[in-house]
Amino acid sequence: MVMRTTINLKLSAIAITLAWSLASCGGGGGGGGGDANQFEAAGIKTGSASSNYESVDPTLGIPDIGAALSKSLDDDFEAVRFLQRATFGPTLADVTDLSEDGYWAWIDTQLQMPATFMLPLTRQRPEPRWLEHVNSWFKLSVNAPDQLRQRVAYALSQFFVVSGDGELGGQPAALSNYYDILIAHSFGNFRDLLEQVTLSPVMGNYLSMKGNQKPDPEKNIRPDENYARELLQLFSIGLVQLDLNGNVQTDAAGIPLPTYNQETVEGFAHVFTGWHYKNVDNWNYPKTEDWFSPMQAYGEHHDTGAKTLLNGVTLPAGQSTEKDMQDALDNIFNHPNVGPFFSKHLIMQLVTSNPTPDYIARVASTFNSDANGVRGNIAAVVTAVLTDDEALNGFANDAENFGKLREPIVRLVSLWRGFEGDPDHPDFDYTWIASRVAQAPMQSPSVFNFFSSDFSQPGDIRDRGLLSPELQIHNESTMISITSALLAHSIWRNTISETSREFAPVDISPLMLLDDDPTAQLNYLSKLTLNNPMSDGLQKQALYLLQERRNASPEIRAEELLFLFVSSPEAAVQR
Amino acid sequence: MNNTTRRKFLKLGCKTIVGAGLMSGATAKLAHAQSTGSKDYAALVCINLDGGNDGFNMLVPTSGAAYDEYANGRRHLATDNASLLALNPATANTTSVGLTPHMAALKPLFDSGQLAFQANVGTLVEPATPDDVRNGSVRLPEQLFSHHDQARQWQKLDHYHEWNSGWGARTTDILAGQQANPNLAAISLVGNNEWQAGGEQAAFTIKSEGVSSYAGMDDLTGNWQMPRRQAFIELLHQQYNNVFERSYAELQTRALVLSTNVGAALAKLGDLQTPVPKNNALASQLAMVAKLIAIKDEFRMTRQLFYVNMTGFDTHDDQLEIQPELFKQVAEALAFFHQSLIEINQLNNVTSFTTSDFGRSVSGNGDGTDHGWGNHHIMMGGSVNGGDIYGQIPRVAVSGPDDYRNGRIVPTTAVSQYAATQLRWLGLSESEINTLLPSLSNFETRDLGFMHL
Repeated sequence: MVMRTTINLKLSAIAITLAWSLASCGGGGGGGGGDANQFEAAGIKTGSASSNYESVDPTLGIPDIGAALSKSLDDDFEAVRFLQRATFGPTLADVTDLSEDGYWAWIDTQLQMPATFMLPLTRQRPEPRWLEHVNSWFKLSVNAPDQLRQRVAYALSQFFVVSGDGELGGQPAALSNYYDILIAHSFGNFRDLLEQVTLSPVMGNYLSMKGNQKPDPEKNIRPDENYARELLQLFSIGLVQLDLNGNVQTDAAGIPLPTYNQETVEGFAHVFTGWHYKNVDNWNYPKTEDWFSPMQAYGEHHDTGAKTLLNGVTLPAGQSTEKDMQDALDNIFNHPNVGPFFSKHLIMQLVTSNPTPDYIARVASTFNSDANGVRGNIAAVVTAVLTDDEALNGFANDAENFGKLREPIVRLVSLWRGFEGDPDHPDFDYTWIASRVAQAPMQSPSVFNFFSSDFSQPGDIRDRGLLSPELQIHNESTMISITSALLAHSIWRNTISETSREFAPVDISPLMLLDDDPTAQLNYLSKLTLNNPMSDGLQKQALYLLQERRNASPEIRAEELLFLFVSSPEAAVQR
Repeated sequence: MNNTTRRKFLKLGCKTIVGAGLMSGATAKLAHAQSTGSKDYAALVCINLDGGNDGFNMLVPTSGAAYDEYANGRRHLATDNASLLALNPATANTTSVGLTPHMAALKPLFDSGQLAFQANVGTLVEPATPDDVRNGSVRLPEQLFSHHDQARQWQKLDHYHEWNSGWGARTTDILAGQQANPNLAAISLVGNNEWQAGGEQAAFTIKSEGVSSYAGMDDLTGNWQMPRRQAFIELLHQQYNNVFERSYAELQTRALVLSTNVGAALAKLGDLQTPVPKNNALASQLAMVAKLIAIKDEFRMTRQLFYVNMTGFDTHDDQLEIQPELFKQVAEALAFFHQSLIEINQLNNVTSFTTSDFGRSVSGNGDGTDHGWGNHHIMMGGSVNGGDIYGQIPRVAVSGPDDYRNGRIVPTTAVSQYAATQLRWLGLSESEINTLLPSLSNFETRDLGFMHL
């Protein structure tokens, strides 16, 4: 059941304004059980059906914008590096805009842009299949103009993980709707997001909070601990107590101090009793399942005893289902770990696998209090992540260790963005992509995401004590399939060689136009595939290939170069 | 050699990444110093049941009072006593148990002495009773009941944070130096995993389907693809300044070399005769393990560690619908693997064992079970003293003497003991085992007795 809807997306005056209004995005809003907000999603090809999440106004108080953030950029690669962090990959137009306007104006424009939602795209077919859901993600990520929001939503989808790899694969539209929660709150408040995620029927299904019932000692039934545990461990505070800079606090013997124990998990498990799909007729075997409205409270199934939460807080007995939930989320939201835990995740997703403690501390401080004193302002946190001195200058200051391996799916999307691959064709079908690039959006094997944030690749990286999460999904087997996918999408699936549009062929004609000017051709390629001027070695191999293919067509030369560049180790890394 | 020195040189050991390994002096000395045992070949196969397999529904107490308290805890999730397959272990346990009917395929292997169970094994730093746990009077594994952490501790056995590696990886580091192709000493069917991670010698990953080739660069006979391939490879051998670039290039190089060689050997072998159960991902992985074992002589391998994984065991929900199929798939996959090892004449040289995050709570949550601790596990192979159940069957009872809290059963056997018993069979010396398993010395029994050398 989905509401038809209208929304007022407040497109407030843009320009470079530092005095954004403080929106009403404090804790406790967006209550569960009520009707969804009404709106009409703007963006690419809005369908007849709409998502039922409202995007909140970003609010941001940046106390002092350094002059460097407002001026135009000196170097196109500076722009490219920034766009690799803040978007799904640079286009030439992005590079030009950012270079001319500077970081601050670019971020400001992005923050003010209306959200492009996923469900309307999925619903372009009245009975969406898995195909429509998967394709929608590609359409958004490749084409949506609100790239910063989309990139952050994707990072959030690796924090508040649900997966269609399993039962939820049968609910493609509901999964798209879940992604819309992330899109809607990418620039909102963390507390609101926490609540929307908690009450999502998709999450309710995934981590079995839906239908979680109060204890029944007679039948030896205890509340389900699944959601309670992962909410604490993965979605908010993590297992161990952290300093503001992310360092783990230990006892005198050097053992990390846990943030909670089994009793705490049981306390939260009791809190999250009494929720189910909206308007169910039967608790155990509901005939109707509303996958699009927030879950609803059913007081008779809620445990009314006292509950022990974090930091010695106890909820009194007799509270309502709703009140217990609100208080428990407040209890979590106000735990000092949330700032460093969430900030580190965003930094590692967007910027670098190994941020310094100081970088984490600066971002976490912004989480704890933006310029207006508001806690949990994600727009402010994202801005802090992207404009930190370490993000902008790590490339130069720590060239050897700074950066991260790009996710394979991001490399593919980035290739399409750079070379006009358009996944919006009716024949487009990328449901199979996980088997080629070792991941696909909202299809991780478990709630622990595609890779662990603390994975460290054996060898050089591990010897240096560094982390490399993305390398966890890279091994001999996936390296071959990822490389083969990159080859297919450059050498074979380009607009010249490929007549079928189902593979979103890339447009290599701009490269072909530069066929008589190898220097210009290689520079063009560098800007859209690398983040640094090409290495001498890459240039040498490019010239070798041009020589080898000298009797072939401009098309052949263009596609050979494109593959050489996108498959090169220097293209695999962002920094 | 004291432990510290040892730890260090394991880390500095063989640096060879591709091709046949050249042993460094220190590693060569180690290889000679330790006994490899008399076996020409031995392999361990770690079968991970991802999410926390419900061992207490796999082996169920059958005698009156013991069954009743199990059934009282599990209620409608309990398996009907009449349906359980009676097991007659060689050594009587205090409690008799039956096997879930969904694992009927394993019963003949148990009966013929080629499969055994280890009862109530779990992560322990030192022996612990439920009272010890409640009082905090012994050192406990960190983050009990958390998937990630418990799965890791099972696979790492690094309770004192000395290694930050899996016990499979530490074993591989010892054995790799003796292998003609060290990079094939550890093989994973599912990519990076904790058991094989963190050592000097990374695990080689291959899919169930085998080795894919580099599409568009795999035609080594014609002239057209060669320049493309050559330019691609040249870039891998370049010096890179950034550590992520270097790691990426190195991994790509491994993929090229190993896949070409292993791919060719597998193509030569063809398929095994034993039919692979359909729609059974675990069986498909094990089928590839059997093939890799069948080609071991091509690479002159004498010791190997394989890792396979099956997902879906976190049965918080719909346990009644999900669990029978999980059990059935495991049983059919294991029975298949057993048969294929007979086919390639390696039954006595290969030992398989299960691991899992934890057991599940005795009490239910309505339609499923939550994270527990102690669990029952399976060992299979021609060298297993099968037809027996090792360790103590606990009282599977909420608030019973083995319950720490709300139906979480405290293990009576440690994973380190379980591991040590296997590593001894693999040919590691007592001192090597002590070094690799630092918490083992906290337990009286170093060998659980389920292997014969």
